[in-house]
Amino acid sequence: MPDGYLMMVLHAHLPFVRHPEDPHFLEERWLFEAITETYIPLLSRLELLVRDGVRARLTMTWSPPLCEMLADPLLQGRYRLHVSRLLELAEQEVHAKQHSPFAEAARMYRDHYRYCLSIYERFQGNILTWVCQLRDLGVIEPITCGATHGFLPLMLTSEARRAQIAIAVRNYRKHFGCDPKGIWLPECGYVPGLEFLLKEQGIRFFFIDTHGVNFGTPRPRFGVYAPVFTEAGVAAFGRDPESSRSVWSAEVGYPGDSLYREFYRDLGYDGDYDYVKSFLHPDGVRRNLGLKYHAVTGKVQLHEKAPYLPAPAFARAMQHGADFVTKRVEQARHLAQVIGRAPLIVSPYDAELFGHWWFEGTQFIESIYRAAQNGGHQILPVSGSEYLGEFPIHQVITPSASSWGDAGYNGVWLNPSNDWIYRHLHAAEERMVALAQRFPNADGYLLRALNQMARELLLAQSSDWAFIMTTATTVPYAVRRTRDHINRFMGLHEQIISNQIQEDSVRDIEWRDSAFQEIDYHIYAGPRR
Amino acid sequence: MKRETLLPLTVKELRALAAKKGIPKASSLVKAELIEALASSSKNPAPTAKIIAPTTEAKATIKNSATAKKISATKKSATKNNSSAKTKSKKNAPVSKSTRTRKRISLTSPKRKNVLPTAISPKPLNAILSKFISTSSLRVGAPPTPHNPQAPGANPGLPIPDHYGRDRLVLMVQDPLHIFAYWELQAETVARAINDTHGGDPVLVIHTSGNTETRSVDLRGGNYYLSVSADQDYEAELALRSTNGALHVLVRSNKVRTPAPSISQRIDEQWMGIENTEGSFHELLELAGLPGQVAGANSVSRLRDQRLATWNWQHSGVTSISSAVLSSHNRSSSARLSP
Repeated sequence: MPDGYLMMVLHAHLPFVRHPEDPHFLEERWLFEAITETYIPLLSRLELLVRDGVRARLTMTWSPPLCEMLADPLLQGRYRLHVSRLLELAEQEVHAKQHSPFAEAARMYRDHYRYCLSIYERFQGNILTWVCQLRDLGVIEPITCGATHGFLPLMLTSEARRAQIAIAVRNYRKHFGCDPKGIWLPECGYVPGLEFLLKEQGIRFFFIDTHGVNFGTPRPRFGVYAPVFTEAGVAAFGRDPESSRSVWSAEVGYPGDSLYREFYRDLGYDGDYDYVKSFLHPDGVRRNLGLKYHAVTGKVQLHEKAPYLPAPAFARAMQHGADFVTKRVEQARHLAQVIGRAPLIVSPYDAELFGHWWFEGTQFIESIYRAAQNGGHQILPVSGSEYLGEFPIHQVITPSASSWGDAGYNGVWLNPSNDWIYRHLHAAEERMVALAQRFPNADGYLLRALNQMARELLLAQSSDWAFIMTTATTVPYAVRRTRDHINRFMGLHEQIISNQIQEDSVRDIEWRDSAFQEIDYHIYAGPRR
Repeated sequence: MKRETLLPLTVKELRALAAKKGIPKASSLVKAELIEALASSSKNPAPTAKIIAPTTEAKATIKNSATAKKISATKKSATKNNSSAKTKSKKNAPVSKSTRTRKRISLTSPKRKNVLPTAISPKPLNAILSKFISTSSLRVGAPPTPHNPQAPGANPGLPIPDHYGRDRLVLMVQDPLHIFAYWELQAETVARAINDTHGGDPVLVIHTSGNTETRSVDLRGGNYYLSVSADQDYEAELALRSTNGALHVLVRSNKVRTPAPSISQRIDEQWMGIENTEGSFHELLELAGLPGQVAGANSVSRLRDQRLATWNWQHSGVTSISSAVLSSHNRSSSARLSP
């Protein structure tokens, strides 16, 4: 019997960014970078584990907007172009850096971009096919998320919350061919009562931050080291703070190791402008290209960073993976003495941390499973469904309202930088519900307009926009997206209530915001009777 | 003594307080237990909503915004409740402070001086209306313009409505100790109320656990952050208070509850099992290739149909059983999960 169980959870999500009107839309690179640096490396490493007979269990969100983008032919075509250009650059780089300390890194990039193109061909541009294969092999348990990652606690109506969940479930079915058993609540945002909406949609488990469980009522006997059932019968897994800290912490986290790749030294800034110009966005502004040649090195200025050497860096990631497992075994043994049973340690992270931010992070993930197996599975990797299947009886509590945002509640998505959005989002919620109830049998362009209104509301609700406003990063784009979707929603609303639907207008908006072709606005009318 | 006032104190300070209050075994209690013991020992009724002066300066309420630095500057993702793995502050500017005027109303802090603003004395209708309403558009509580100015040349986005033509007061929970309130009022609603009350002081009336507090507000503001108590229900009304103290309600809010700030004192336990579905659950795991089963890569459609036929979570139920049963069950089942 193992000393404990380890549930690795990765949350893969990007907001829906697709601009058919602009062939070089800058923010579409978010997706391309994540595919190249996180999703393909991660899936590749999981496949290696299967090949080597290593037990791996990864519970992983594939958020609906991300699935929609990964399966979208327009973005697939643009991704291929993107990687082809990177490969062209990397081949030049191999030649240019062949006699320098950066030669190994240059060859690594060239080989990796070639590999990405081969993966693109192997799966006809859609890596979700790969995810399904790994799901069928028992390695990944894909779970869903809110339809557009809308922050559920700040929605005004239960209909809007229900729609985020129901449309996500339907979208999951489209991409994965079955119903999801688990959900990652967007931003881990929970308020009591959500569990009943999850149950309506057949969801069996969700994740919640540490204090959401620990402050639950009645007091959870095992803390976050066993799941709890809500009154609806949906299980909640609480985040283990200790294992989270070992990756996230600036003081003790692994990614700060001096051998690892430095994110902020990039060829896009370091290279001669005339040399890199043709690989930059057509606006000519220097930005990251993804080819980085320096290591973290230590607490030194950026210009003092040492050359990056991939081999020792990846070897260090393997050591860190083994260390992570050793510490989890120690943690599990200690916890077992405290709670009197083998604990479950739930370790959730943003997927894009691994590979994109922490370049060697996917090696770290792979090494965790190898180290666990080499250690005789003193700590046993499990997935969400698997654990509940084996341990089906748990304490019933009502978790506490919480999120995994800064300070643990709603402040990241509700503060003076972004509070202006809610009066618009709430008005849209109420208007959507009213029209869904008023038109139970719409068809033709009325049906299309109502469905498009639902898309616009969902896209406006994405928690990413409020988050970006808080962090003051790409604020203009977040503001623009919020305003555009609200505008289109209200315009369609006006057309419908004035009985003057403009077919050209509906078609244009459908073309611009094409997510969720399977959407059915009726979900906003309330629960089906 | 309220929990939220105890929360910032160190364990040492809490133990000293507990010792003063004669709480037994204070030296052996952990922080949460100390807070609960101190809060329980207090004779003060729970959430009195002492009104403290509103401030008109903008106050960003984002706490510890520096933790945002670990997040991609250009990407999604939450500001996790922990610190950064790498310092990636280059792309992450500090969180901007709002330049808009926002009101803060504290309903809890016993320490702050109670500085009430000058009450609005009855005035002629036109004067009242001009105070409340932008006469050019007859808008009340119009939404503010977006906080972040657009970069030069950036696409500012399509226009959005200033108002939605309805009376609305919405409360939203920000954290255990803060609620955000926004509102929109139609000019006709205000004018009618002023006619009925012959002018009056606009107030926000906050209800919680049998207590009611009122606070003077500027109806044109429409964005207020309220300092409140944790683990309480709140509702509010916007009203005009006439000279004789009568309230003419303009609009009522939704009801919200602030989260608990600490562990629950309830320790009674109930346990739930999955009834009737355990068999299908295992079948489902096999279909999904979990654990260790290998299914064909092209068998998704078949698996889907089988799953749909065998899976019915709606049949699960609640079972109250003892923890001893739980222990024995888990012991027996754990062997199956061994690799």
